[in-house]
Amino acid sequence: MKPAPFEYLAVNSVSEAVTALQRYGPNSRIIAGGQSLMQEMNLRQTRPAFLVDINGIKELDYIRETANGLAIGALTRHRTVERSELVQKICPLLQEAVKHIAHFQIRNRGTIGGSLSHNAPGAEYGVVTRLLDAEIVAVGPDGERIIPAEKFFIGHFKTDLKPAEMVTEVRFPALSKETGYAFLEVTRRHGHIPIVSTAATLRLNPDDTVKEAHIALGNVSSKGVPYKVKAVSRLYGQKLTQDVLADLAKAIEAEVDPDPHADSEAVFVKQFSGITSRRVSELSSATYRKQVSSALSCRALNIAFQRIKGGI
Amino acid sequence: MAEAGVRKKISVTVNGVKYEREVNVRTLLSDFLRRELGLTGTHVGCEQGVCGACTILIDGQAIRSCLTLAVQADGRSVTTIEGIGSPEQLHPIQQAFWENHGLQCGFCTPGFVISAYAFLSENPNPTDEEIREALSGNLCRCTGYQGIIKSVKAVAEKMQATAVSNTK
Ligand SMILES: Cc1cc2nc3c(=O)[nH]c(=O)nc-3n(C[C@H](O)[C@H](O)[C@H](O)COP(=O)(O)OP(=O)(O)OC[C@H]3O[C@@H](n4cnc5c(N)ncnc54)[C@H](O)[C@@H]3O)c2cc1C
Ligand code: FES
Ligand code: FES
Repeated sequence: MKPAPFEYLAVNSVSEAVTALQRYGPNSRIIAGGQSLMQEMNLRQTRPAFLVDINGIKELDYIRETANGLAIGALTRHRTVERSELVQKICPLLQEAVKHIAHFQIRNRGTIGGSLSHNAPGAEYGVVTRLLDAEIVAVGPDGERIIPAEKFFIGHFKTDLKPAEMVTEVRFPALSKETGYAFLEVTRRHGHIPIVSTAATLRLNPDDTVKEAHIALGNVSSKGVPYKVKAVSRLYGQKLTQDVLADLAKAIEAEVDPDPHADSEAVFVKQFSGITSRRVSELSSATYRKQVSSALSCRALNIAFQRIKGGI
Repeated sequence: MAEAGVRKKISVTVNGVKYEREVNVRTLLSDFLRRELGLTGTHVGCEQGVCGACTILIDGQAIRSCLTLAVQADGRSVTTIEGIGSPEQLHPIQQAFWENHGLQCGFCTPGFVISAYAFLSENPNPTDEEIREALSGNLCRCTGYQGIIKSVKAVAEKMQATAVSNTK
């Protein structure tokens, strides 16, 4: 289908964008890469009255090294992150994750600010942002504020952004050389929104016991936010033996809480517009996603371990 | 700051020809190319970014024209399948599709050819795995994909051979 009528304004600076969002009110929407918004508008799931096009804000398209990591401008395309040597050097996990987003034609347009603001369940950037406790910089009528990932995502397709606020930058901490990492996901078709996505980091003590481990999962929380696994704390001081991992797997299955109702309203319905076919519900059932969560988490830790040992 | 509006004048270069038009801001770039400029080689399948039939180049980069507004092409350079080759003079990618059974009904073909064009210009010597990954954003209901992958491999090999013979 085609989008419902709207008015359009292209802006060239953050202050113009914020002024426009204020002037046109709650019925106005930012368009960045358009790779989620145009899809929704074509399906008439969204009918904004005003579109504020931020593609002209060239100064929001950057990747910079900072004192403790990376700063990425909101308008940076997925494809730029995928190819950035700086990202490869400082936060390779992010690069591994971005390769899973859609196809190269979509990655040429889609932006990091758009992906985070959209907060689709399972979205790769959201999972990595949450795992690494990245910070989201937002600018609105009252100026700038910095939102920790934990507070930024608040529900299915919902974030903490206020109506006239926009994301301008995302700040990721550097991964140390000694940190192992992995990103894995299960999808219906490569390049589509994941059924479950997983990111993990791992650090070891000299005797190979776990010094620090983190796991974040996408599309397994009934709240519709990227989820950081609590059960990993039981690994600290332990070696990653089969038994320890089997124990972790059980704990993750018990801990994660994919709400079947929220799911039927979320990503699959969003994508297929009301069709809750048997196949979709089977593949995305809460039970299935619990199992996938624990399997992917353990596999991710194994890959992270092998990376530390130079096996990958 | 300008005012928001429902119509806008744009100037866009398509296949080397500059067009100036006033468009409705809700017009998709795919519809602008097909209806306003009569370039019906760009096909429209799903209008939700999934099938890849509407893939075109904008400033040399492959994108979905169904997820882009015509106003967003203002000041940019667009290449459609009509700018890649002609019936009299097929592009080597089109020739390879012909020779390797890379199409049946042809509905998906413009999108595949444009995607392959963008992909090969960045990666002229791809592995089979890379070819499959690059084509994964285009759907074909007829061929079963094997002929398409074979076509892209064939062009890549031909391009490599020419590049080698040129340097000799
Ligand atoms: C076929 C297909 C497959 C896809 N597969 C995946 C996938 O596997 N994983 C995945 O993560 N994504 C996937 N996507 C979505 C893609 O990654 C989008 O690029 C992304 O979700 C949104 O980014 P965008 O820049 O295109 O934002 P837009 O579509 O322009 O905007 C999305 C939303 O964010 C808001 N917004 C945009 N920028 C800002 C900003 N700076 N500040 C505040 N609000 C803002 C908009 O108002 C809108 O509500 C897919 C899309 C398609 C078409
Ligand atoms: S019509 Fe654009 S991707 Fe299908
Ligand atoms: S040849 Fe018919 S859809 Fe591909």
